[in-house]
Amino acid sequence: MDSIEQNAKISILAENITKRFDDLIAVDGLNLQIYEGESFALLGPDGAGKTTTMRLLCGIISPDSGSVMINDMDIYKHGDKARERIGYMPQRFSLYENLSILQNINFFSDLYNVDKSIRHKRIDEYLEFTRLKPYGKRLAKQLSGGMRQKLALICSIIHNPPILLLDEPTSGVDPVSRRDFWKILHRLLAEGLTLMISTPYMDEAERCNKIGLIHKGKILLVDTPTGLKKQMLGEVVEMKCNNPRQASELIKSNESVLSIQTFSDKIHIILKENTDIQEILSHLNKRNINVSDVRKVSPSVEDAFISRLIK
Amino acid sequence: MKAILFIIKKEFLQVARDKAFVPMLFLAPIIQTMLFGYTVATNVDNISTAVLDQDKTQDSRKFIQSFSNSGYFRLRYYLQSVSEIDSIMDSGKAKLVINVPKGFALDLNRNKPTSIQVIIDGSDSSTANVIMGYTKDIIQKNSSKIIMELLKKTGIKTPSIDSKFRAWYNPELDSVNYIVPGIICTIIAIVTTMLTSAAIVREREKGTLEQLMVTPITPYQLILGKVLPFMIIGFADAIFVLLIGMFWFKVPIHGSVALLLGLAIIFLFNTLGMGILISTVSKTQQQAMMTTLFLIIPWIVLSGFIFPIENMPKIIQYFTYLIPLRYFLIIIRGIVLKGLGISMLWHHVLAMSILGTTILALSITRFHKRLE
Repeated sequence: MDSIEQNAKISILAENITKRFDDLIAVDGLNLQIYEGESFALLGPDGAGKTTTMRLLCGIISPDSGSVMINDMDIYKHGDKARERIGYMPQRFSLYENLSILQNINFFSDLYNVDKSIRHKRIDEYLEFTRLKPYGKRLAKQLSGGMRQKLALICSIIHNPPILLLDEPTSGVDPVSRRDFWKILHRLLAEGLTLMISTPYMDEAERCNKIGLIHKGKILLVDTPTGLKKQMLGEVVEMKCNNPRQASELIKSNESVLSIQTFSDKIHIILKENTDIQEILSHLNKRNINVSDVRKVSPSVEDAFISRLIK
Repeated sequence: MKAILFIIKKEFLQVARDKAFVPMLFLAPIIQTMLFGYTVATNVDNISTAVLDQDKTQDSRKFIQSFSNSGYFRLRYYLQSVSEIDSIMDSGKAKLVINVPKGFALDLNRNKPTSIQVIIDGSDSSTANVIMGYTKDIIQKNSSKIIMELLKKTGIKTPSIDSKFRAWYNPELDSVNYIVPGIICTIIAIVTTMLTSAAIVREREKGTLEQLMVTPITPYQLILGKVLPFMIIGFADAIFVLLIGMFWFKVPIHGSVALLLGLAIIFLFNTLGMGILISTVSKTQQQAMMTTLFLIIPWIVLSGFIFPIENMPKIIQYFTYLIPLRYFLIIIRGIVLKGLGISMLWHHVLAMSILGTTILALSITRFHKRLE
């Protein structure tokens, strides 16, 4: 990992960017380095500043302070040059609803000056790959959520950009389309694309080889999914029980419990290291809660995120 | 430069997709031209007239006959008593009542001055003024005819001044000739301002602007690409109305059509600038439409399209100098009715150009800022 970083070029470099909207500080002195060929997930809850960060990185809005370099070009100073290197897909569907799939793709091919001689082959290939080919003449407004998202992806990569930024690309997309979507991304990654996505979903972030946790407009830490899990404070214990909600209420106040996640038939407890689990179990048993299958589990990114927030 | 063409192409694709749009483009001008062409006619004729002839003599009948002979008055009601006057005027059936009192013929035959009464419905002041003018004219003619006949009998010759009126530029004083050029102005103003503002706001409303902003296209290319299609559409509408005026209403065009269309482009800078400006203060297409109407109505009222600017209060008259439509109306009427060339119109053209450049510069600056 480290050796790659030393040799690889930086594709996206954000230095100390801050963006205010009236009283609200959406992005607060954020620093970011994304290396060529990397896939990077900006992970955070709603309102953490993900969308504003993405829009700052591709130069749609300019920051109050700080700078963003795309392939060593300042995006706010040499915008048109730098923008040719980026593909960007906004969170909201942003194509022309009263134009067809092909008209939309052709329009963006025109704007990006995609050569006519290679254009048709490329469009054909992408449509084939996303299984949109039979619908070429269909209007964008008649497409399902998943199809729209795939179309938006095609429009943002039609000029073959080396860097691709996707803002919450698969929210509201059915699982099959999501799989199609990632199939395209993996293929592009294999060809050397630098990918950055923002997402509130841990499972989506885990598909990337690096994750940056963002909270209140600041990056909390950047690591690989496995590295992130290692950074966990304490340990995660899973226990099945008959009344998870009541159980979590009972042990919430225990000082060795850092955090609890409640599921339908089990709870995840993040405990301080070297805690005696028996003490907690007996406490629960006294209140008539049946606990079974107590075991240490490897932490998910979600657990890691929560434990990081506690710190 | 190619980027502008791509935007224009896309814009026309979208316009063509909109089923309501294409008929609107041609129906609206037709309806407006017909509506204004036939209704705003300020010519007053066929005035519904009531007559109360209390004299019932040959002379009184001849006098009344002279009204219907003029062609302006239609004698529709013959009243029997003074008490009927109120109800016929109240109902609005008659615009005026000619009341010839008893003794009219007797007075005349005795060479004594006599009088008649004319009651005019003054609720529409401008029509009332016109009627009063016609009436005075007819009575004057009757009166001088009587004097002349009397003098003839006595053999005395009298000097007199004969006046011959000739209305230049619009000899028949046909109001359609005056109205149609005005319609061209208003149609261009409404169509281009509204379409431009709506089309730009739509990009913002639908989020497509965000996708456009990451492409290499510059704000200037974007704004030109957005605005040019509506310039073309506005231009087509102008020609369309002009043709309706020429071939349906037979409005003679005395000046150069090329000059007219050329100056229309300068006027379009104003309306497109307004459209962009409106788009920067509107969040939705509905808002843009409402704002356009809100601005266009005072434009039309204060431009001199229907109401003469000279009759407006002084303060408002000064204000009208800020309305581009005012200059274009003068220009287009000058070209169509008087056949004027640029040498007579240049100061209006200059004013319109200065206003247009200012509005356009202001709007593009604001558009730039709003992109943030």
